[in-house]
Amino acid sequence: MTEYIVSSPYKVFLLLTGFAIGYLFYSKFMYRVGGVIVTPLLAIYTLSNPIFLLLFLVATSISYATIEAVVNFRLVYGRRLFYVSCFTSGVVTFILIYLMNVRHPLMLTILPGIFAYNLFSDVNSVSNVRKSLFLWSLEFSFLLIIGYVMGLMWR
Amino acid sequence: MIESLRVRSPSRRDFERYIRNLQRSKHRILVEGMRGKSSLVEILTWLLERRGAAVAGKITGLTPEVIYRGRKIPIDRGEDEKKFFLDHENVLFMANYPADIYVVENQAIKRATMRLVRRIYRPDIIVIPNVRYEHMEGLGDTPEQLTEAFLLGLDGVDLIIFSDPNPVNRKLFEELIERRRVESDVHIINVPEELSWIPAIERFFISRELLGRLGMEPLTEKEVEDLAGSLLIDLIPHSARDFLWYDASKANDPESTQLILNFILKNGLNEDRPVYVLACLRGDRIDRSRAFLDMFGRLRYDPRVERVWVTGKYLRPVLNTLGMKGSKLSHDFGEVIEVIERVRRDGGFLFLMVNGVCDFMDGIRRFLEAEEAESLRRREESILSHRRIRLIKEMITLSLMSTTRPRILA
Repeated sequence: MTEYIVSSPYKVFLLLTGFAIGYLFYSKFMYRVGGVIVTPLLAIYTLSNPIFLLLFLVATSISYATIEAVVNFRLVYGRRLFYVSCFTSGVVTFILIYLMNVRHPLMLTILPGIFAYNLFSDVNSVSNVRKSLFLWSLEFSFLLIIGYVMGLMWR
Repeated sequence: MIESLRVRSPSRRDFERYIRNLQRSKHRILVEGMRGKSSLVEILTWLLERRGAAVAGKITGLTPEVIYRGRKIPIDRGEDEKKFFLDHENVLFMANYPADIYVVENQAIKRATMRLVRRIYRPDIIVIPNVRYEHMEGLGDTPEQLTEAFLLGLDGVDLIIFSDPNPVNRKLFEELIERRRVESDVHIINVPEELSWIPAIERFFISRELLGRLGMEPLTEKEVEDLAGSLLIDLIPHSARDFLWYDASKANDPESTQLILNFILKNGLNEDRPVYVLACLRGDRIDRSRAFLDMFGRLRYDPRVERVWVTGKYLRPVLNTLGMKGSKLSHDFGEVIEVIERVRRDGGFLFLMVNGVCDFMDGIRRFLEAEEAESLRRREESILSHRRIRLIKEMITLSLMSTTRPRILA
């Protein structure tokens, strides 16, 4: 459990690299899929345990479907929708983790909610969602590779 | 080659010129609020220039422009006009156009962006024509939160002019000024009730107040007439073959849209002409769709409104509100032509509303404009006649000229 709490230099490096890439992508393309913190944190967690990626994708899909339904019925928007997304993500992740019986970092419970909300905003804005998702995959893969190589070197 | 201001990352020299122009300028006027900001910037720049002042005006929004020495200079935001940085655009504007008085539109999108623009211009005068239900996601959901958003970051502001024709909004503004202990001189204009039904009437009172405060020659009767003329001409429904139409989709907030609809129903249409409404809802503007729910509720029970067509995303709550009067329209243009044929058959009036910036609305607008151009010989005329326009113009002129002049800014 402590490996999620105690930060090692390579994790901090990964986090900072994620921020730098995010800054560049936002300046150039105004892309925001995932939000500021989700991609680097998810890369760090995935390197610790690949099952977290699967868990993240499932929880994100359910959170996204939930906020779509909430907007469709009640026209909820803004921060309240963000809370709905995070709440759903927390519940779904908790159930999945309980069923799978794996140790997990607390932040993982809200990352899918943040991601789903940002994805929802991108889908409904004029930006190119495919491009955003492509850039996100690029950033995520890049961080995974760097993290993996650095992890090997560090350990 | 057409001159334009290209938005880019400002250089060190740009920043130096920006600071120099900022320090040299005598007044920096920010036009805020919700509705009619661009027009007000244009009017104020025009009026100040006519009085010999060196003015630089800036209209923000989707077609941003600089108004400088009697010319309109487009602002080029690059390939994607929605992707630019506010600080870059505004710093470059001030760096490139030296002036004694700056008149700038501050878009009320988010509290943070409003404060950022205030920090760039350090305004000494802020003008707020009205506060409406708009940009709720960024400014607040309730009238109190929305109004409060304009009272943040007022350091260095000497004068605030507020002129919402709605007495409820004026009272709320007054209360918030007291509660927040605003130190700036606040002038709340009481727009006469007999004129408050005219859309955008507040611009006349603000112009008069501002010129007076700056110690300039007051509005002339001719200027008021010209301004009133251009305002009223904009409110005349367009004529197409056998029917009339009006595009209120740029109003973007329910109060302004209702004001325009009421004005047209009262002054521009015969009572027996059926009214049809077409609204486009955007997925990225859920706050706006929600703000319009009450108005859709009123349309449902308005006996003159025959049908309301809605298109776009997240329509279910709107259709529920409209009940039997509402219909969903797909983005298929064939359906739109059916809609227009129905309005034509009934000799009706088609009212476009909610989102002006929308591909669907652009298509309809182009179609209707083409119809209008083709059918000049067979056009239906709005009853908003020259005589009626003259009467309303006289009302405005009389009201503005008869009341006391504002005192000069210390």
